[in-house]
Amino acid sequence: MTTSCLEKRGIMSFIEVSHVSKEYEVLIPRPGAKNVLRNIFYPDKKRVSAVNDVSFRIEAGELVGFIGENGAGKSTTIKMMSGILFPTAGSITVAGLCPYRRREENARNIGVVFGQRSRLNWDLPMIDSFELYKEIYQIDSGVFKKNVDRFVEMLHMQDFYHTPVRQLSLGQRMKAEVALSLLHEPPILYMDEPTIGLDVMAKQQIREFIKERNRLEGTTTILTSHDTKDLDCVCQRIIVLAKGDVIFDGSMERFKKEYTREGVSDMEDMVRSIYEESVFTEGAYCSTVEEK
Amino acid sequence: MRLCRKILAISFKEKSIFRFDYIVGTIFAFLYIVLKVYLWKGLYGADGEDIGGIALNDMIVYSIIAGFTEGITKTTVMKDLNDCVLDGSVSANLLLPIGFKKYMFIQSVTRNLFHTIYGIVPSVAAAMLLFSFHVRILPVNLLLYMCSVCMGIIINFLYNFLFGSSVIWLRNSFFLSNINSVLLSLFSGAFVPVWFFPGGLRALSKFLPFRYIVFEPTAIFVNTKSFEEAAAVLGMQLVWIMILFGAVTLVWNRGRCKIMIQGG
Amino acid sequence: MYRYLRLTYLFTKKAVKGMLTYRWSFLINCIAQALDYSVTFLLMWIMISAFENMNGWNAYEVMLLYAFSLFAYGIAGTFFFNIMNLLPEQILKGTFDDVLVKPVKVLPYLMSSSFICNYIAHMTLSVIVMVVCFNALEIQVTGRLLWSVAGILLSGSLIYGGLFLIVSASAFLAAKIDALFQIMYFFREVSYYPISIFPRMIQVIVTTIVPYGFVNYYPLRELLGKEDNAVFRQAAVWGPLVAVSFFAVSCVFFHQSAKCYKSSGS
Repeated sequence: MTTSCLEKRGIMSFIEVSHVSKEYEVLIPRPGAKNVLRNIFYPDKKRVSAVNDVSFRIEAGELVGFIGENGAGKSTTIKMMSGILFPTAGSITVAGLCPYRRREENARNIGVVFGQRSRLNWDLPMIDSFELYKEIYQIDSGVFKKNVDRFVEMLHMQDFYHTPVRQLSLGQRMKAEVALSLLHEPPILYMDEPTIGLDVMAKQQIREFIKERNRLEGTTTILTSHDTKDLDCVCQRIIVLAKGDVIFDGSMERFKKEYTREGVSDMEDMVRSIYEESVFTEGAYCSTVEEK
Repeated sequence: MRLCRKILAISFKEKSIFRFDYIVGTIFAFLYIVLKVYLWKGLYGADGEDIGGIALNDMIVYSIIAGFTEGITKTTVMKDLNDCVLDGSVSANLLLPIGFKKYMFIQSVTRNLFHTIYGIVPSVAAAMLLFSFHVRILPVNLLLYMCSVCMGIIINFLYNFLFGSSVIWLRNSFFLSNINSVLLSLFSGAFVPVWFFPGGLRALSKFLPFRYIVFEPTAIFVNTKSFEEAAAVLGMQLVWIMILFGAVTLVWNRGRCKIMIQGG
Repeated sequence: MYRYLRLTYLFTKKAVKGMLTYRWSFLINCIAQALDYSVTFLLMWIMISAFENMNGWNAYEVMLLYAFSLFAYGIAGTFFFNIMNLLPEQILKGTFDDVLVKPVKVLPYLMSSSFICNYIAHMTLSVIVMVVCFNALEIQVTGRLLWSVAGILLSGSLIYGGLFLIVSASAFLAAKIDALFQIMYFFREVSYYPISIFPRMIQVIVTTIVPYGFVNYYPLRELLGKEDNAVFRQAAVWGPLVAVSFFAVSCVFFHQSAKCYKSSGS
């Protein structure tokens, strides 16, 4: 069933992002001693748009990959979908809820992994952090035990399960992070660069784990990564963002078909050619930045 | 001297980036002096009789000048030593073609000079304008005060360097630096001058170096001492400098060996 | 409510477990802080006993002012100090995201995760000083006195808590909050003394803008039956009301400011 069909019948998709924009106000300090007070009380502001009229729909059980350069708006979009940020315009619905208005309820539906920061307690073994999350998410003891046992097995964490986190390698820590975010069995999983800095083995295990969870539980997963192999391996659908706009949205096959050109067959090369194109047409995007 | 200029230039650059902090710091240095003056006014009461031979007017002068003396004698050498031993940069500093103690001293003094000129002087000047008092400044007193303050700077530096060196053995100088700041705030006279101490504490303060950092120089300025008494104070300061310098040399030579062997 | 109490318990248990690695530094930290505050008590006592009194307040009465302030600060600090201490960095680095993706209410969650026990040192010290002072002032410790002391400390900690919250919440609005930090600590220092010795303007500030006056001065003025020339002489009656409403306003301010959160980082 295509998205346009659903639209006609007025049925809501699992995740709906419609005409969403996000603008930031950036302060521009004026140099020089005489402007100190002015910088404090009347700073010059500039509006910068991070996401610009973005729309897409994601159905339950999809594995979606976000591609885009640094600053293309991937993280901002994910943050709006998880209820951290309010969009400046447009609306978002995640599993029937508006994430930023009903943040607490939405939080029960989602699992979030930010690859660049850790939520594990540094001085204690990961099991202690798991137990804390059990309490925060009010997970039933039976479910908790079942999930911990399964995750430990699937991610091969038996060896370092009782080691204080500060002694773990980056890969081991990331596995623990991924397990942590799925303990409460969320139907949706957002992962922002989960494989950054990991070795090949750890990457592979995390990829397999995500696919496995999707197959068994139907976990809808949205993944951003700068490693194209992650996306190639895991995702069925690709959304490409550039300077806050969606410039491609379609299945993996279509993505490859569309961007395979002469001499470009590797996925990494395709992504690079997309980036280069977006630099080439930069003039068009500059209009989104306006002085206030 | 060129080194001094270089460090001063760097401090300038650092400060011009955080200009807002500097304004805030100056305002609060001023407010703390104001707070102290009102405390003394409250203590002297409406009639303002002399207590222990000290008049309210002298106490106001004392509070303002103590604010300046405290500011200019301050040093962060204990924290600097702690940081550079723990992050290992002490080894790099030992390779410089200049004595490590001398380098640290110049760094501490120049940084503080900047802080004094831009933070302490404006706040002290503002406090002087706010309160009415009279002070008779004799050139000889001013000269004695300046000598005494210079020695106060050296005493505070040496003392802090001595106990800061403990980081080489203890790996953390937090507790010692805290004890140090507690003793300094009690005995230095920056808040309550030694005049008002009960007998036992006053006697004890005579055997500790702290009163020679803020209290004695300021007391010379406030003109409560005869020339002979002031000279005796300078003599005692010199004695403390020699004692502390000896101790620092002894401890530091051992510490340097330890750093050389362990590689920081 | 129960949920957050349980979370507090768990967080504290974990903190203690983690701290066993650094137990000496915890102990030393407590001792160092207690020493620091003891010296302030000592200096206060030295200064005021040399002069007999400060605007009609003797050394023990002024030390009592300080002890009440310190105890209230300790209670508030137990729950709020770490919020103020850690939130600016969490906001700057964008790690505040991790709080928002959890199914919890922001303020209660922050309170339970920031709970610290270090303030035991402050509170013990102030209780000792209070006992000593009540003894020296020959005040009979009756049930009624204990109730009023409890009431004063409770409203005092609400005021301190409110100030902690306002300073923390400002981190959502401005990148640097050092100036607010300094304002908070400067007026705290002012409130250690009978504020009637200060000029009119300062008295108005510590009664209205940063209402430290209600933490110790006004209630103790009433309790000890002092009659000095304060600007506001009947303020003690308003104490509990001021405390509760100040704290409520601070909570609202915190929630409104949190909406301005701009997640940074990638």
